[in-house]
Amino acid sequence: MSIEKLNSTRREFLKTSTGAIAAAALGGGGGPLVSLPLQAAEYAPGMTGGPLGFDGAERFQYNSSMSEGRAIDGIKALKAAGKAPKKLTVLLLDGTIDQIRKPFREGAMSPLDVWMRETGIEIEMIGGTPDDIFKKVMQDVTTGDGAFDVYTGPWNSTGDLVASGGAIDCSDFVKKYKPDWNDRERGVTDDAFEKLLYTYNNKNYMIGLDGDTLVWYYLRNLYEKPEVKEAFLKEAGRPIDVPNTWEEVDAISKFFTGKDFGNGKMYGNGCLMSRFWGLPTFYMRFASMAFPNYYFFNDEGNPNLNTDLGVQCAEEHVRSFEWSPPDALNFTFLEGWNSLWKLQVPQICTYTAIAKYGDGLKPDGTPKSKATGLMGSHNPVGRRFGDKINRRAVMYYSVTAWISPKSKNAEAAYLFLQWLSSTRTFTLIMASPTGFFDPFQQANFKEPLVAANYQPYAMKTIPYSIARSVPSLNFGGQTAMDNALDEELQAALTKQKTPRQAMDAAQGKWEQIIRRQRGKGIIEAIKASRATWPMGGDPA
Amino acid sequence: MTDATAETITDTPAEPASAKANRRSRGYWAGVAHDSRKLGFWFVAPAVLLLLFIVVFPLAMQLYLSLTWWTPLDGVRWYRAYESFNSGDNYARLLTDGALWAALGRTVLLMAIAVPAQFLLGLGLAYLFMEQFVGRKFFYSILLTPMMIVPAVVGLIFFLLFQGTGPVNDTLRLPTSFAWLTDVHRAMLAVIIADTWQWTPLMFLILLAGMLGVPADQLTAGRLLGASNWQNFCKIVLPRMKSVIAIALVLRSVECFKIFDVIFVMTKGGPGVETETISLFLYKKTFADLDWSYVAAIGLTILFSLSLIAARGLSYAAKRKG
Repeated sequence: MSIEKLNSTRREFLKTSTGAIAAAALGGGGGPLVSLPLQAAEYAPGMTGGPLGFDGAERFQYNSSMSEGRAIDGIKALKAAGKAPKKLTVLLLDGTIDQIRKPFREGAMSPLDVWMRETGIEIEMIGGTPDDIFKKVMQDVTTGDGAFDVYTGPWNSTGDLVASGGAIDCSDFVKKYKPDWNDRERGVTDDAFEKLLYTYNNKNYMIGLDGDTLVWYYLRNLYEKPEVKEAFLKEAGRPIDVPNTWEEVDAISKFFTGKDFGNGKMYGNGCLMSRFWGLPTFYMRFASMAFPNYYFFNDEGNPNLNTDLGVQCAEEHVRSFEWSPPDALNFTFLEGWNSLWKLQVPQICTYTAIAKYGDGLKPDGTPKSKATGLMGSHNPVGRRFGDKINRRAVMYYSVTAWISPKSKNAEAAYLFLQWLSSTRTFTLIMASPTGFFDPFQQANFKEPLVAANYQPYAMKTIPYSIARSVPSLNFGGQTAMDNALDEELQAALTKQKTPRQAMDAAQGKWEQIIRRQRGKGIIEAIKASRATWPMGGDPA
Repeated sequence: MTDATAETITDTPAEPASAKANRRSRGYWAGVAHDSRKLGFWFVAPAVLLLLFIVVFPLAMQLYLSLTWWTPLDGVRWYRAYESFNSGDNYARLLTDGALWAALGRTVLLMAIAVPAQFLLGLGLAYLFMEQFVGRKFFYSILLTPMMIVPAVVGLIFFLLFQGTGPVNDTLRLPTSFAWLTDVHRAMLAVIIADTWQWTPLMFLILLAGMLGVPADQLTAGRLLGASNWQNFCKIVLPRMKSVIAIALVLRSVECFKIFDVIFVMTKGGPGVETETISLFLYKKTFADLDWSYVAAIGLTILFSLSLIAARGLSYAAKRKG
């Protein structure tokens, strides 16, 4: 576990001229803050807070009529009433800490610098790894430690956390401070997605900090190579193009496997197949098995896993493993990205940070990977139903924040999260060349600094995918259900079971979990989850 | 009794009750100082109480939880687990839980291969190190290095070694498609190799200590009487090392039963559940499924079973000695 004590940010902060000015005004302590004339002069007209010191900083500035400004005013009011803490402790993914702590470029202010300058409240960030962080959360909840004011972890785990009494309902704070998440121009696009990211059982238990909808990336230049075009036409009987359906994805996977187009032997399928990280690959395929959706559960809340369509999906999923790199069952998302970056696979459906870390140039001018300049992104795939295709992506993981019921500073913790997740601050976070928080708000996609990171070619495909994204499981019992399905899928992938046997077994385990959770609102939660699925289809 | 005495007694002011109690108490403690049994009891009482708290409380808590369906998802504290009392269903469940028995089977398989392999290799190495040779101390230090490495790091080392594009395949000239850690048969082999690499040195160390303890004059006498090295080894060294061998085997078997770190890093129990040992199974049930009451039942059953086996073993050994 890496503990990032953030006292040092003060030193970094003093390096900047604006910091020096503010520090002089503050007298080096945590006294009355912000709205000092020297600072205010540097804000854009009408703005009272936000970052300073770089071109375009005004795009991230705010005033009291804006979501961030209301959060800062709220902190000021708490301070005036003597109710503000000196420090908030936040459990975060290791990979997201620098996104908050470090400026996106030298000379700029980091989001944390801005927070510290405007509130004086220290943020202690304690790191955890992506697949272990929720265990830390549950440890804190079950032991009643209260070591953290704020937890973060996978969005999917919200149901489990709420069921165990580990998150507080922030609905009153949301009403009081009015965050801009629901601003349809700057926040999320529609009610369903807003519900998905910020509510559980219609209450504001969580605050979305990430846009982990899986998006398709591919090696654009490879599809344009004459020898590839020719070979594909010869083999598949049609020109190669970005796929629209799973059938086309599989055809491309099959085509590239074992071939060498100048970068060594290739494998056609880059989608993750491993435990935990490979689960959304299955869910995504599953969701498009029927029009408009093939739900994981039927109307009565019974699993659909061992239906004919469920088994067909498992068979297709298992077959696609034949076209995957040999160690794919051990891949985390990082190894998955790397297989595309080293041009070993032509396509992958994954988290959007793949472009941030692998496409473009490093500060020293060298390419970030072999795939720099060669990558592209395309829309989600689905299945043809008459003249329509039900393109479906999936939301899986997506870092989410919850406030601990043990926190003595719940309101201040909420205000920090509102400030952090509001569209201006969050867009500034998205400007960071590092970190696992990914864009999902409308404002993010309009920002040139974000486009420079996540690549202009993805600025349309990401929101397009989000709009067609189905939620993976997110209710009490989710961890056990995901784990059960995962185990059976792995058994099928390693040929210990047939897809039919695996789906039968997974169905049995899911039914058992539902039986045990029946009295705890699981059926209602399943039905509520169904209501957040996209319903439309796209022209074929 | 004379009148004077009676008067004296009558004149004595009545003793307050608290003073009486103090005197009684002083009397007890004064007695303790002279009673070695009582003194011993009071000296060890704090330690016994602490021990009871450390050992009995967790066991009692586990027993209590194991008789319920309680999980953290219930949203109530553990002491209210009685609300979902299940009359021992968890114990019935574990008897028919195929996944549990399969994990136990894999653990036994791993033990059955890894421990003898480590024993034979350790014994061979110890035998080599009985003699003096150039660089003995250097090789001795090198040999002991693996067991000083943190098991998770060993897992990482072997995770990298056994990648399709890793050094093992390169050295053996195997194609990159020859998967170790994602193959249902080879994954366990890779784990056994990693465990053997790390823990053979411990076997070696214990067995070497045992061998060095064999009296040299007996070996010399054997040689003078015409015994070959092999005969000396079989007839003198091994019989003299019985107890050391038993200790080494028991130690490694127990540790091997608990193996976790190496597997967690190398395969996380996969592919599928092919390398999922009992420790990983319990870990998954605890943290992934949050099925704490069932884990409590499994934990207690394992504890009870192992205690029974140990007791039987000890009684058998005592009988043989007798």
